[in-house]
This record gives sequence, C-alpha cells and structure tokens, in this order.
Amino acid sequence: MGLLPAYFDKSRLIAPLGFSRWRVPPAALAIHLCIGQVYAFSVFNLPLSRLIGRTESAPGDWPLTTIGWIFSVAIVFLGLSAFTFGRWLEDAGPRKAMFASAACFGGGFLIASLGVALHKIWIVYLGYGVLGGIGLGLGYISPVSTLIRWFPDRPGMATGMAIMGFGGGAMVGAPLAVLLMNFFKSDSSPGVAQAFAAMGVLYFLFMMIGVMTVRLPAPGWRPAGWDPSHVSARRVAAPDVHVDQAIRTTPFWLLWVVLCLNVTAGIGVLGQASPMIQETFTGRIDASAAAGFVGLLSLANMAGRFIWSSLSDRIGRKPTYMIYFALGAALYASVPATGRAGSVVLFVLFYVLIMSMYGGGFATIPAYLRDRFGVMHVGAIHGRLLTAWSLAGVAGPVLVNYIREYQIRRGVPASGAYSFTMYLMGSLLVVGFIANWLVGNVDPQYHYTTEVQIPHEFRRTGA
Amino acid sequence: MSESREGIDRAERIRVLLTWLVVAIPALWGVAQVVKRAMALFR
Repeated sequence: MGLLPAYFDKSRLIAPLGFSRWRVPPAALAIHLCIGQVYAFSVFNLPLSRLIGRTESAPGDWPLTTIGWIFSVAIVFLGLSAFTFGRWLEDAGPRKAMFASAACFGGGFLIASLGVALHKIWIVYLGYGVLGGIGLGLGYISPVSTLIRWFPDRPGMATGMAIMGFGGGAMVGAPLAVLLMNFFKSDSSPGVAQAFAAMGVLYFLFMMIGVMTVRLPAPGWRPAGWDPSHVSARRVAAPDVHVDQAIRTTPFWLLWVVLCLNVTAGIGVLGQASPMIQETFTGRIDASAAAGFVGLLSLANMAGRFIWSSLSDRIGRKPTYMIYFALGAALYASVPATGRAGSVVLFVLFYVLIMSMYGGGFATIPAYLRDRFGVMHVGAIHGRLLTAWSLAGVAGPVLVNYIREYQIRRGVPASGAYSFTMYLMGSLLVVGFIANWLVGNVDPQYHYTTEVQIPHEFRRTGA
Repeated sequence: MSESREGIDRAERIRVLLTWLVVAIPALWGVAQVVKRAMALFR
C-alpha cells in the first residue's frame, strides 16, 4: 500500500471508451507552463537583494551572487531528479509523478516564502532550489512517455506541444511575479514572500488540472485509421530497450552529444541576448528595444518547439537535426556580417531562426529516443539524457561570456567582440551534425525481452 | 482497439475544448505581454 490513495494508481488511469486523446496534451501543458516559470526567476533577483534596504541593497541584504545560486541549485536538482526518478515514473505512472511534481514545485515556493520572511537564504535554497528543482525534473519528464503512447502517429508533435509549454512558462511567470509583488507590496514589505506563497498555491492548483486530466491508453489501443504495419519503418517505434541498457549503447551517447551541442550553442546566446544586440548596434538599440529582442527570441524558442518537432514527424528525426545543425552553423557564421552591415532586421531574423531550432532541439529529442529505444522506458531514458542539458547550461554561458571578455581585453571593440564566439558556436554545430549523422539503430543485443535479462557483458563472452 | 471520431460524443468534445481553454488563457496572456515588449524593437 502506498502513501497516496488508489486514485493515483497507474491501474486507475486507463482511459474509458470515448475518451479523446486531445485532452492529454493540455494536461501536459498545464505542468510544463508552470515549471517553465524557472526561467523567469531572475525577476525576483533585485527585490530579493533589497529586502532590508528596500530601495537599494543595505548591509545584511543578500548579494546578487548569493541569490543567483537559487536558480543554479534548482537547475542542478532538475537534472538530478530527472535522472533519478525517471525509472520510478515509468512504474508509478504519470498521475503520481505529476502530483509529486506539483507538490514539490508548489511546496518549494511555500518553503522559499518562509525563507524570505525569516531572511534565511538556506531555507530559500532548500525550498525553491532543492524541493522546487525536484518538482521541475519530475514535471519535465512525467508527460513525455504518456504523450508518445497516445500519439504513436505524431510523437514529435505531441511532445513538442508539451515542451513548448516549458518555453512559454517564463512568459507567464515573469509578468505574474511582477503583478503579485506589486499587489502585495506595502510600507513594511516588498511583497516577495507573499508573492512566493501565492505562486506556490496557484501553480499547485494549475498543475492539478494536469494531474486530474491525464489518462493512459488501454493496452493495444491505437488511433483510428493508423496501422503501424502500413507506416514507413523509420516512423515506427523501435523495439523496447531497458533504461539501464540504453545508457550502454552508442546511439544514446551520440544523442547525448547532439542535445548537449545544440543546447550549448543556443543557451549562451539566450543569456546574453540583451547586451549583445546593444553592443553590436551601439547607439541604435537601447535597453527597451533590446528587451523586445529578448521577448522575440523567447517566442521563437517556444514556437520552434512545436513547429520543428511537428515537422520531424513528416521528414524524420535525423533529417530534422541535420537541418538544425547545418542551417544553424550557416546562420552563426553569417551573424557577424549582419552586424558589420548594420542590418538589425537580418540580425534579428537570423537569431529568431537560431532560437527556433534551439527550442526544436529540446522538443524533438523525446521522439528521437522513441524511434531508437522504443516506448517502454522512453521517459526514464529522456531523464538520463537531460544531464546533457545540465552540462550545456554551464558550458554555453561560460563560453560566450569568457570569450567576449578575452576579446575585449585584447582590444577588440565591443561591437565585434561576439564574432569569434559566433564562429565557435557554428563549429560546435558542425560537430553536432557529425554526431547526429552517426546515430544508428540500437544493437539488437540490447533489446528488451520478457525473459530474464542477462547483462550483455556475460552474453558477449558467451558465459 | 482504436479511437474513432464517432466514438467521441459531444460531451467529451466540450471537455476537450474546456481543458484547452483553461490552459490556453494564461499562455496567451503571457504571449501578449511578450509581443507588447517586442514591438519596442521595431519602433
């Protein structure tokens, strides 16, 4: 007997006759739209650094470097929990995992609120960073395998829709946070603790829509008119591979490199977009126009998740990544020229395309995994692959920032300081192109059978 | 077993619509905020 009522059991999730599979994507979106808030956490940075001084930081206030760790801890725990709980999720089912995610994410906000009220940073780290981060990881992977089971005919589009929500979460989270802080602000409080508490409750309730809506298809169910035997081989899920076997295969690590390089190239630019456009077009682009550029990139990142992953259902996963890498490398190589030519429109257009493919890379990977490793443990395998994101999340911004600093120290003007970085990002995408090109099918020795699983090392030696 | 259009009744279609609406409203509000900000780029 578990801690939760039978309502959460996987066995209770089988959809009744007449259930429409189109109720499942909004259930997934309800989760991803909430957890995507993490990318908007920076709106709390300044208010958190002035809890005592109010108008400016006072002695005893937390410095921005201390506050920056809240986001970093959350992202680290996102990766760790996706890695650790992926296997549990496959057994427990999506409802239990989504509920755990909602409880952790909402609860994390509430604990962080207490930390702000008591002015104890370790409580904020523990709340939003550790507990909230676990909620992020669980929530990110929980709807993936369910959507793939419901949409065997369009797995890219289905998972793209959910992961699009993660891209859009910041667009809701940032203005919501500002709205709540303004609402709760008073002479005695900047309203951060109250905003945290309100967001914890609101996000928990919104995520419960997903918890209550999600269903699993009955065994053997398939969409009307869809017959896997009449579908081209590359669009049918591969034979199942156990998660513990998957990480021993070459395709897994090639896909890990593919995701890592695609994310590295995009994430560094995303973090530096505002100063980059202002420094490239000095005197022509001010801070408010740069904020518009950042907003446009967020929209491209979100839309790309749906558009590119849907396209991958038609042209295949490998060709889609070929486009990301080939077109991405060409665009990165051309961006410095648009800066030198003084063309804001081309500069913005190129970055919009780059960002759409950055988002597309995230959204297409679950369907790519399903094509190579089957459906059985696709959520857990996806969780393990997300460690590539953790590494890229550190590598991308470090590359962009440090190379820029190095260029400026060597006397390169600020307007040209990003050129070398762009060429480097383009080169990373060329390596990604090769890695993607090498991704093949999984060796049949790793395929899952219902017989007792014999570790392949023993099978190889014939023991 | 497979899903067919005939197998989904009107009540279920309304449930689908309502679920999408509940999720889409905050998402569209967020997108509108960003679009408003993005307009500054081309002003």
